Formats: sequence, structure tokens, C-alpha cells
Amino acid sequence: MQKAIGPEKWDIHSDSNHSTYFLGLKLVNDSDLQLAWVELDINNRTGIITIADKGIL
Amino acid sequence: MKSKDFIFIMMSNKKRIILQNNKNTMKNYLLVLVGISFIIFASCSNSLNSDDAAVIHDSIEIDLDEDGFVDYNINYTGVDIDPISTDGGAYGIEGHIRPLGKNEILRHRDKGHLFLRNLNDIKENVAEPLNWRSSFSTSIVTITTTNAEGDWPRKMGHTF
Repeated sequence: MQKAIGPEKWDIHSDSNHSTYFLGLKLVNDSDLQLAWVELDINNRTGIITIADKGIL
Repeated sequence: MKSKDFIFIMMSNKKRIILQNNKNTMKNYLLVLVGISFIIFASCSNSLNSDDAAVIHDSIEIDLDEDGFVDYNINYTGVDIDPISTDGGAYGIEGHIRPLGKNEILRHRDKGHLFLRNLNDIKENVAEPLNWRSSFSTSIVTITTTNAEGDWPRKMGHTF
């Protein structure tokens, strides 16, 4: 791991603040297409992203 | 008691009082010194806390359909911002999400990828301002060393 001294907070690229963030996803292969989502927990102090939940629609 | 003896006793007592006062002063100085040392030690310990340093974290793999193949991954990369500037530029870290294969990510034209609050908005065909993107690796979190106040340089701006 590479370390650098910087500001204490990471910038989350969202126009609003939430405890978790959702991404809409499309799984595409040659024969099938599925819609899915993933819920991300982003720690703005450490920058660590963890998957809070996920699912297929 | 002769007056000479009385004067001698008085002077001895005076010396004892002065010595006692000096002892108390030294004690106070020592206490202040210990207190200052403790404050300096505590502040140094806080500034060296590894949690405050920006770190390139390990990448995350997302296998949504649990078929054993990774569908998306999230990678952290170091970036040099403005490396040819006179002050040496700045160093930053970005966290990207990248679809693998033909997979896609829903995006809002003005709000980027982390806009979604209603899962019903995820549809196979979407209309503007929404669209599906497949080939882009998009940064979702960033941090930079530009200054201690946490101001973000323009070049590091959101890549919606």
C-alpha cells in the first residue's frame, strides 16, 4: 500500500450525501441480459468502499 | 535567650522558609514541564495516525450473478495532477468502478453514477438524462494532496 499525506476526507462523486450509494448495472453476455444493482458503503475518511448489498432485478 | 541567639534562630527559620518556597516552585515547574511534554506527545501521536493518511486500497471484485466470473471491479490508482507545474504538482488517489466485458453502468448526465435512489429507475431502455455506459472506467471517490485544507484542484474534478 502506498501512503500520502493529504486532506482528511475523500470526495465522493455524488451531488448529495447518503449513508450508502446505489449503482444501476446491466449484465450483458451473448445470450442474456440482466438488470442488477449494488449498494456501496463509502467511508469518506478512509476512502474504503465496501459492498453493503447487491441484487438482480 | 540572648538577643544574638534570637537573631540567629530567626535567620535560620527564614532560610528554611526560602528553601521550602524554592522546593514548591521547582515542583510546580516540573508539573508544568510534564504537562507540556504530555500535550506535545499526544498531538504528535494524533498527527502520525495512519488512519489520516490517504491509502491506495486493494481492488474489489463484484460478481453479481455469482457465476464465478467478475462482472465489475473497483480499483484505486495513484494519479499525478499537474506534474509539470513549478511547485511540483500534487499527488492524488482515485477509486474507479469498471465494467468488465459488455457489462454496463447506469449514468445520469448531470449527476454521474452515484445518483440512484430508486431501483425502479433501472430499466433496460432509459431516456435522457439517463444512459447506459459500458466502456468507461469512472472515478467515484478521489483524494488529493494539493493542500491540507482539502480543496480539490480543478483537474481533479468529478468525471461524470
